[in-house]
Formats: sequence, structure tokens, C-alpha cells
Amino acid sequence: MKIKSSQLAIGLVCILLGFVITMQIKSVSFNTNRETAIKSGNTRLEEASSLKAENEELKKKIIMLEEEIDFYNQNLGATGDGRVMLEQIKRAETLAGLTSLTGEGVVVTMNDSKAKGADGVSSENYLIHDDDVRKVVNELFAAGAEAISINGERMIVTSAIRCVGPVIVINNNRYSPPYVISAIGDRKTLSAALNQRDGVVDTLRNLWKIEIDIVEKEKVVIPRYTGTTTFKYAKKTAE
Amino acid sequence: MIAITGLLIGVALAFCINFHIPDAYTVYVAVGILAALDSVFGGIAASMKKKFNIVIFLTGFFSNVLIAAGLTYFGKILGLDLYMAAIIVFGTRLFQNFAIIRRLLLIKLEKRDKIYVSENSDED
Repeated sequence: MKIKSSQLAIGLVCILLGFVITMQIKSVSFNTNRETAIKSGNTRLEEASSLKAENEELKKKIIMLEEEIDFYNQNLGATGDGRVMLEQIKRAETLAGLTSLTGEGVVVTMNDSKAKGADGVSSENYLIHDDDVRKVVNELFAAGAEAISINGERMIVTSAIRCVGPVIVINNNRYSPPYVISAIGDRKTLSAALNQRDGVVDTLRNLWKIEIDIVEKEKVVIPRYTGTTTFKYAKKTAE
Repeated sequence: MIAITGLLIGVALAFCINFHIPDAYTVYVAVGILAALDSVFGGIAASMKKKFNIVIFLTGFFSNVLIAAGLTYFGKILGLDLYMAAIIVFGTRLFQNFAIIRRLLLIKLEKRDKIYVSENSDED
């Protein structure tokens, strides 16, 4: 069948038309999708930053209110009954981690291993994970530590140490290495507990070459807990 | 026919290629498509009237597209939505061409019926 030049021209024109129409439809839908995605991303960012600002304001308010409470507490402590209540409050605050404390203890600094990995072993093993930090904290508490903080975050009864990708989240704040763990207690006991054979430091340092540095100190300062402290579910049991 | 295969080939090609027209240029392409469709349907109507001329078709096709795109761009720099003119004109012509094609199709079908009837009546 002989193809007339006019037929060819029509064919080419149709190919061009089909191509351009489909391309246009694809592009328009792609562009509108991208726009809505970007817009929703932006609203999320705005929401997040306004919430952060609100958070900062509220934290300042908390500090002001706490100062007021302290002032009233002082007045309370003047009378006999009041003094007993004040002692109870102070004791509870100390145990709850709401006051900063100082005393002798140790400062443990942990950093990712700088060693080259052995063949076939995943390089993840040479990084510090949340459970490595937890082991050190656990060992310190077991050895009698009375207060522990990690990178300035005070460990309280509900503190959690979690891995999120390459960083660790402590008390809902993110931290990356190096991790500085301060503990108050008998400094010889604390460092001996960590340095036991087959203990935490032995495994981490000798097996995976994670850098751990333990320094005994006469005076360690551990800051107070600065997060939220309301309980939504737990209620006092009837005694 | 060749027109439909051409269209299908074009559509398939567009799905294969992973390119998107940038957001800024989609206006021009859209107006160009409208102009192209107008000249295509004009060509179909002309071919049904047996008055199809390939040169007129091709030059009309490309010049319509260029003028439409040019009008849009001119409107943008003037600050006036001149592309509206293209939409109205090409839209109107599309409807007119549809009407012509429809009428021609109906006439064709009528003629076919008439021939059939007259052939039958010759057998007496």
C-alpha cells in the first residue's frame, strides 16, 4: 500500500498531538500534586514552629510560678507544722529529680568508635546505641548512684532513652554523640562497677572499640529535670 | 485509520518519557493544544467535504499554535488575559466544526439509505 505524503503528514501531526496532550495532562496533575504537598509541608512547619514558641513561653511561666511556690514555702517553713511539710516537699522534690544536686561521683564520656570495621561486620556495631547508654546508666544505679544525668538531661522515674535514626532521644530531646553521663555516688564504687571484667566498659571498649572515658570527681553537678511532670493516668491508690 | 494509530503512538510515547512540563509553561502548551485541536477538526470537516488540502492543514495547524502561544505571552507582558480570546475563538470554531461533521455524517448515512432503496426499486 503506497503511503501518500498527506497521510504521513497527518500521522505525524497526530503523533505530535497525542504526545503533547498526554504530556500536558501528566505535567498538570504532577505540578498540582507537588504544590499541595509543598503547601501542606509548609503548614506543618509553621505549626511546629508556633508550637515550639508557645512551649518556650510556657516553660518561662513555669519557672516564674515555681519561684512563687518557693516563696510561699519559705513562709510556710516558719511554723512547726509548716516546717515538717516543707521538709517532706523538699525530700519528694529531690527524689523526683526536680532539684539540681551536687556531690562526689563520676563523669563518663562515650563516643562512637573511630576504628575501621572488620570485614563482614555491619558498621552499625561501632556506633553507640540507646541500649549501650542504658547499660551504663543501669550499672551506675546498681552501684548506688543517687542521681544521673545524660548530656544535661536528668534521669527521673519516667525517663526513657531511645534510638531515633542516628541520634538518641532522652526525655524527648535529641542528642548526638559524645554522650556525657554524670553520676553522684561513691566514686570508687561507681567506676569499679563500670570497669569490671566482662562488664559494660569491657564489652564496649574492647569488643567494639567504642570510646568510653571514666573520670572520678570530687564534685559533680547534676541539673534538675526540666520536662513536664503531670500524670494523666496514674492516680493515688486508696491506702 | 492512520490518525488514530498516530494518536495512540503519541500517547504511548508520552507515558514512556519521564519528563514533566515546568509549571510556568503549561499555560502556553494548553492554549497551543486548543489551537491544534481546532485545526485538526477543521481538517476532518474539510476532508469530509472533499476539500482537504494538506498544505492548508499543516500551515494552519502550526500557525494557529504559534499565534495562540504568542497571544498568551503578549497578554502576560501586557498584563491582560489575552489567552481568553484564543479560548473563545478556538472553542467556538470547535463547536462549529463538530456541527459540520455531524451534519455531513448524517447526510452520508441518508444517501446510503437512499441508494439502497433506489436499487431495490429498479428490480421491477
